[in-house]
Amino acid sequence: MNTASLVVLVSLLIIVGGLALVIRPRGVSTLDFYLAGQRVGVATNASAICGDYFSAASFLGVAAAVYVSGLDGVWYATGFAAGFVPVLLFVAAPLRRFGEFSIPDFLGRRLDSDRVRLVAVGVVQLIILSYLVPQAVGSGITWQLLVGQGIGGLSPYATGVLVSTAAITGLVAFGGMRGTTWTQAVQFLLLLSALVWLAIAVLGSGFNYGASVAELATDPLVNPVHVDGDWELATTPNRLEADAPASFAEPGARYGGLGQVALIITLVMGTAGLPHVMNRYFTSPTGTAARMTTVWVLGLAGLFYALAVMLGTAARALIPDAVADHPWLEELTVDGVLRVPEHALPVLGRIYGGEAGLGLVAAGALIAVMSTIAGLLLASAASWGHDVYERHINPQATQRQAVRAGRSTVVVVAFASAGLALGLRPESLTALLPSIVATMVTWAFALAGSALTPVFILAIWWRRTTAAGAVAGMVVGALAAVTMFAAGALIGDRGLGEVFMTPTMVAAPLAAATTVLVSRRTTVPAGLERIWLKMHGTAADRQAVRLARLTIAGVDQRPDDRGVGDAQR
Amino acid sequence: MRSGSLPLAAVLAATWALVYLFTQEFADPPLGVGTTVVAGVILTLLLTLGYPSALRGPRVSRATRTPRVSRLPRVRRSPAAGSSRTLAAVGRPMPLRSGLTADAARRTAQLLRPLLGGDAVAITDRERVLAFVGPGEDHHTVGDPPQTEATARVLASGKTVVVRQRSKLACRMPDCPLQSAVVAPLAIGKRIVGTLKVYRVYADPPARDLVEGMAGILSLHLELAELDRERNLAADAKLDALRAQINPHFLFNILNTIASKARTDPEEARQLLLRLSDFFRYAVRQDGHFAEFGQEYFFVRTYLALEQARYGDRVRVKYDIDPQVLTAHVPVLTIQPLVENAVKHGLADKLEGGTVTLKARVDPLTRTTAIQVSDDGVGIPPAVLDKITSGEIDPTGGVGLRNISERLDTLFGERYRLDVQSTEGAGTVIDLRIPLR
Repeated sequence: MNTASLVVLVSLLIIVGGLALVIRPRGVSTLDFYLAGQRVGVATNASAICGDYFSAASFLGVAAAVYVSGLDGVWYATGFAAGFVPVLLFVAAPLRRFGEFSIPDFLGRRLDSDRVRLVAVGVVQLIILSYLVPQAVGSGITWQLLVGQGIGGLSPYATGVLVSTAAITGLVAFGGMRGTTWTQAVQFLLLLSALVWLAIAVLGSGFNYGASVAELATDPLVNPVHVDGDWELATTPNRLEADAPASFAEPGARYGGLGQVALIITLVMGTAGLPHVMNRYFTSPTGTAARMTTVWVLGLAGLFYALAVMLGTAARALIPDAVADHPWLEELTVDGVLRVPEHALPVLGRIYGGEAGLGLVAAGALIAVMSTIAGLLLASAASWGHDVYERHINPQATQRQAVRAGRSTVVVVAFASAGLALGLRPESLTALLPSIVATMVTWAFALAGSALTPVFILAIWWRRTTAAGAVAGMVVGALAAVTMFAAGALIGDRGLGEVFMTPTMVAAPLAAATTVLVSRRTTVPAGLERIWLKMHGTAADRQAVRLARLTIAGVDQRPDDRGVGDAQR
Repeated sequence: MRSGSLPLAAVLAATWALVYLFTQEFADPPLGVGTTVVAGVILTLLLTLGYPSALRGPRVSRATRTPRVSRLPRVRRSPAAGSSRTLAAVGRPMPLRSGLTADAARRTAQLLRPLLGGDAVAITDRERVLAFVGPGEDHHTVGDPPQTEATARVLASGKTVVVRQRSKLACRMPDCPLQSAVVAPLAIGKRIVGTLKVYRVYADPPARDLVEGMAGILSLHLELAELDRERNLAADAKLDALRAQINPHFLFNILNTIASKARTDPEEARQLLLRLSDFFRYAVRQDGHFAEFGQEYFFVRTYLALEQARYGDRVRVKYDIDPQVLTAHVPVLTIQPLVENAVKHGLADKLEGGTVTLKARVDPLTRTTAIQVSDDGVGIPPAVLDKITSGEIDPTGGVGLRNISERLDTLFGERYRLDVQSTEGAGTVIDLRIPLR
């Protein structure tokens, strides 16, 4: 790391901050698009959701997972992107129509119970914490590569974790990073443009995806392992066929047959339970707009992950040849293979863009980390502050006390995650897991998919769901997921252990069954019909559309618009 | 030791344990003594300083909190113990605080039965039994008129009646287990609104003073409920006043504008009339105190479109609104009067006109909706501003700003902020922060 990339990094971060201010829509137009649920508005909201969703795991992690294990790494990309399909089909529109501001709020009011709300807060906090830890690990790894030295006797990794956590905590707690729709959208655009630039550079240099995959598949997959203080290359064993080496283009490098399915299910089910992503659905003007937003998110996510997969492959194919021209690669690689797979994208950036390229990719990674951490911290503070503090600890809280409670939550949660990230030293785990950041994020997805998503979907689509059922379902789902992790860590990740490491396949049906059984034995809350109508009826949607049309007509004052408005009244 | 010190001590001990864990066990190699101590001291300071206000809540509420009744020993017959329990019940949230309804009465009766030393507890209003809990529920059904003539006597006289004989209870079921009763009146001021009845299954009636005392407490709660209702009525009245007030001058001016446009540009005049009808439809039709921001926004836009027709280019508008705000619920008819003030007092007197900016944000950290209305008009002189903020006079000479702040008072109590800042000649900024809901 030298001054050039540092300059690029800092200036990019400043530009993103400035850009968000400059391109903030000032006239009437953008909000009008938003109101009417038209394309520009929907695309902005979709970009904002992507800004919250694409974290270090998506930006560095997916490419790293592909780099290290080939096809098995592609499942991460597939799962992360496909997670929005259940959201689109089952969750987006009813959630928006019901119009509460967070998942605990939604469940608490839908089932008319404070107990549900409290349990949901607990689960949400757990998910947020397990999502925050890999982000902190990601920033530690980025610092390690970018700066390479620690401050005050700490290791570079620990310095990265602490500095980034402290910086973001300060930003979130004392003003900035309040996650308005525009800033999130701009951050996503920078992330995407970093990937697109890298893709164009790689393709421009004559890289051919199909040919490279075919070529990589001819040799067995090798990865560096740490043996007695020395790094050496070892062939990755194939988990599907014993005694055969794994291949880049075939499944089996990391997961056995069961593990492949379990991983995908875990990722697909998890997205619908991620609090910081779901919070954004409450911003769409109508249920239809919420659904359209999800379609856009699916498209953007598909593009993003396709690029990430291609770049992971490109790193595998191109880095060995680049070592000769770039002497700095030698200390990062073993015979042309990277020691830490998360370095794949930054190294590609430095090969093609020099120090500035490295700075761009690092800025992308930091922005991904920062916007996700900010979103998570805000979701966490909101659920503590609103659902616990204001309701149960101090109902007469003044505005200032609420602010203080929110800030202290942010500080506590951020440093808890930093502490956990320090406790898990990535060097000790890379040998065990394909890509530490991507793998750790699956734990958050597993918790969300096991404890929240089944209850969430049942509460939306099954009338008989009761408060007691939801509480039982969430507790059983969370306990099952955590127990299976613990068991998985003990018995290792072979055979059944693979399901234990990605437990949604078992835990989610368990949670759903518990919810159904307990609900059958208890009575539904009064006023179900009213709640049901609000959640699934479209009258309020139509009213909102009509109002939006009227609002906008006032500026254009076109006679035909008026005519439409009148006819509908 | 003052209450709250113990948890603080525990938290501090846990913090230092964590500091040790992270600096000495997790960090590799362990950090130096200096770094560790500094980290620990900073955390300790943060916790100690932040603790009293952020974690413990206001002192007042802690001071009035009473021990939970469930911790007290269960039913005992001595009147002395009974009255101490009565006192304990004073501080409890009482369901009847929301008024004398069947649901509140049932929950109150359930709450009181163990406290009053009776076997069955009933609450009636003047016409019906609202709740009956305990032996005999099967035939003393809720919704029937009260059966005993003792009840009628209490309702008529307002004095407590003690019934010691089964025959006097006059229950039509021969095998009714209830033997004796105390019937005490529930009153709001001097008006008797119902009775509290405590029965026993044997001849010795419950302690009279205990039941009377409890009836007194319940009466107090009912009185408070009545006050609440009156206050809500007052808030409704203020909203009605604001609706009615949608300024006549505004109406005259806009009608004049339309009249003049009717010749030069009939199509635009038609537009304006339709806008005007939108405007009044919204202002009149709103019921309830809250609406989605999107609706209020529509209202403001309609209003400004009408004003722009009148003032032409002299009134320019800028909207800076994060879409997250659109679904937030805001009190109805609060933003439009603020914008109207900006146009009427800020821009109308300025020859070259100016810009009104409406800015709205959601702060997810504090769950606040922040709305800012600013103009670059003539501003308010400091002396007048002082009077406005202290509530002495109102800029419109009507009820605008004060009406809003009074309504916000009733809706949010201490939980909102309405700030007015103004520089003479440079414009006015009004900042409104309300809880997100």
